[in-house]
Amino acid sequence: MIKFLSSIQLAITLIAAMVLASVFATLFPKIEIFSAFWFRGLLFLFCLNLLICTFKSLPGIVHRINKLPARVDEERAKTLDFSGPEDTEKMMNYLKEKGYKIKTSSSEGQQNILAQKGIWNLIAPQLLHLSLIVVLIGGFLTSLGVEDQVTCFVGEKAVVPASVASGMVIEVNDFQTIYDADGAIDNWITDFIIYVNDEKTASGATKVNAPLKHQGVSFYQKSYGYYHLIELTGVQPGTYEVPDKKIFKLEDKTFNISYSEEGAVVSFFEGHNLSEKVILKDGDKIDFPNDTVLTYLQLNPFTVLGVKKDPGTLVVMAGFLLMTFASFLFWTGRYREVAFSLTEGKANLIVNCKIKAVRDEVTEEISERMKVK
Amino acid sequence: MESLQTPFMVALLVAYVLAFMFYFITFIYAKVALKNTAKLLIVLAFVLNTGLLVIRGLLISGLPLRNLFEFGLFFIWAITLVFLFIEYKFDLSVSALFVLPIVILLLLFLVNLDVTVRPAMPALRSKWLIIHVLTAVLAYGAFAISFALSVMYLVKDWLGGENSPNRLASIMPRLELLDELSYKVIFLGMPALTIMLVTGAVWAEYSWGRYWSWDPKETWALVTWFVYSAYLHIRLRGWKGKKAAIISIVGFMAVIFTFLGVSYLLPGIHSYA
Ligand code: HEM
Repeated sequence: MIKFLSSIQLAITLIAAMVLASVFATLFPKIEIFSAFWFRGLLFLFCLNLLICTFKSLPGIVHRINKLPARVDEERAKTLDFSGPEDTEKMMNYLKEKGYKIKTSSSEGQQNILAQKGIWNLIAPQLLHLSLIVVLIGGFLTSLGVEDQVTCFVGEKAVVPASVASGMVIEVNDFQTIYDADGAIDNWITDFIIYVNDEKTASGATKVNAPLKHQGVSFYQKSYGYYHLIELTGVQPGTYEVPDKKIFKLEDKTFNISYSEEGAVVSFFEGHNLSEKVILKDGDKIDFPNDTVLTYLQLNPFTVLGVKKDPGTLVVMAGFLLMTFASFLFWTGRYREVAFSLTEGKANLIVNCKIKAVRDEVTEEISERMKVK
Repeated sequence: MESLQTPFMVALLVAYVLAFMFYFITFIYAKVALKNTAKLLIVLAFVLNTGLLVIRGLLISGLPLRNLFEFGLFFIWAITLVFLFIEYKFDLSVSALFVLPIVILLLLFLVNLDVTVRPAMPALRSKWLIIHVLTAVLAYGAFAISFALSVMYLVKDWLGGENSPNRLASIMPRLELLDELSYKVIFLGMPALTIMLVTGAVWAEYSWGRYWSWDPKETWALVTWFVYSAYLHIRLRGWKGKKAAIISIVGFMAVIFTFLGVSYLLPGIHSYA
């Protein structure tokens, strides 16, 4: 059972299954696959597979790193001419220059040398596997976390949904669109205060790509919008709060109000075509037929913040850090070892590396070196 | 400077097509001078490609990695870079016959895209984007090369392998070398792909408040990563050569689908890039 659970065959089968499931899921987005029970089961099995396989292979790796030089079997080795200690010296210097770590031992009148290089590359896969387990555990914790959103008008307060944090209220001081030097939108920023159980506990700003975190709750700039406060006199008197860009009909005229930097823009339409545009500041009026007057009172901006409480994110980020580190280790060069046994007049040489081309190249290089006296 | 882009694109296309033709003639007549001209043309194309990226970078005052056009330019640049590297290190001129068509097809696609410079939306103004896309480009460049090497493997194998009397087969490197080079290049690209996935997720966490949303682009990038990790693991089980070559080809199909297919066929939050 353990053997099956730690096998690479199972790993490949699971990977293939996840590929098929993912492809299927993107082709049929209506079918909920990633949250399905069987997909979670697949991930769990994958996690178990990784865990057992990684831990089973650790002793082997430790053994390999701590390995001592031993007699090199003549049958499997390449035999080279070897004249004496100067040659040994030369060879060891060459290997040291190339960055090998060298261990020596002697037994029964022969000297054994083991040179190793690229040890980091030996543990990189295991670290990568470990990081995957961490990420998967984090992902599981995230599925227990909660996220929601809170909408709040500038100058007002709003309650953070209780599922995310209990007794947390935000008060928005300001919401701004920030422009860059070229006049393009650079960011949206919400300036707000956080109260926990009626006590002010934090204040700050959140913008796109820079969430604010407080007491385990993260606030993200998610959306925004505008309402326009207007007053009508005449046919339908009263104050109204109208959404940005929503189309109305008043006394045979079709119009909407939209936000702009210069002020509120009232656009009149005839059919689908724009017929007239008027910019209003606070207090400005527009006359409609039948003594109806629209007074623009003020702009009411609101911001929508995503709120999230999720202990899993931190775990996932830790896993990501490890994963990145492991990825860099892969680039440090393949693990290889060179083993020598030196006896009177000859040297037996074995080069080990997973890549045959590297094996051949190193064997060749060393053979060349030994020939040059 | 914006108007310089189209002439540069055309020059780039011409340079790559000419280089391909020279490599092709080299394959028929085996003249050193022809081969050197072809190499020179590739270097010229690489310089032009770099120049175009610099122009684009100046136009947007940043790294040009924000939309399909810019990413595609970088993609071609990376393929050429990895190609020049293995051509220099292993003298693999024949691989040009298999690599350049990919480059030319990509370029033909890019020529049709809008090159107007538009401001980037706020979510795209992030440091994470730079590492995310640079590692993507590196990985994709490496995978394109391993794809070409795998196709070469299959073609040579199909033509009869080492002892084939076929001319094309005889000028190709040994099957074993093709197989190992392909492995090496994937081994180089895989960590880059991993860092691409990680930085993408970190960026999404900062920007959308969620490190993973299973949106099509993400999912397909993950599929690509899975396919190449399957490649690395089947090698551990001793699967080499033909079977490995087929998986490497499937992997590159996934790359292309992530890059183009998802943008055009599957909607999602990533669809701007
Ligand atoms: C998608 C997830 C995985 C990724 C990205 C991954 C990545 C890697 C990489 C890059 C290597 C190095 C390959 C080489 O040297 O050519 C490796 C080796 C290995 N992987 Fe995985 N792996 C994954 C899942 C698994 C699973 C589930 C198992 C469990 C059986 C596993 C078992 C192994 C083993 C035994 C090695 C060989 C280690 C060595 O040579 O020292 N991998 N993995």
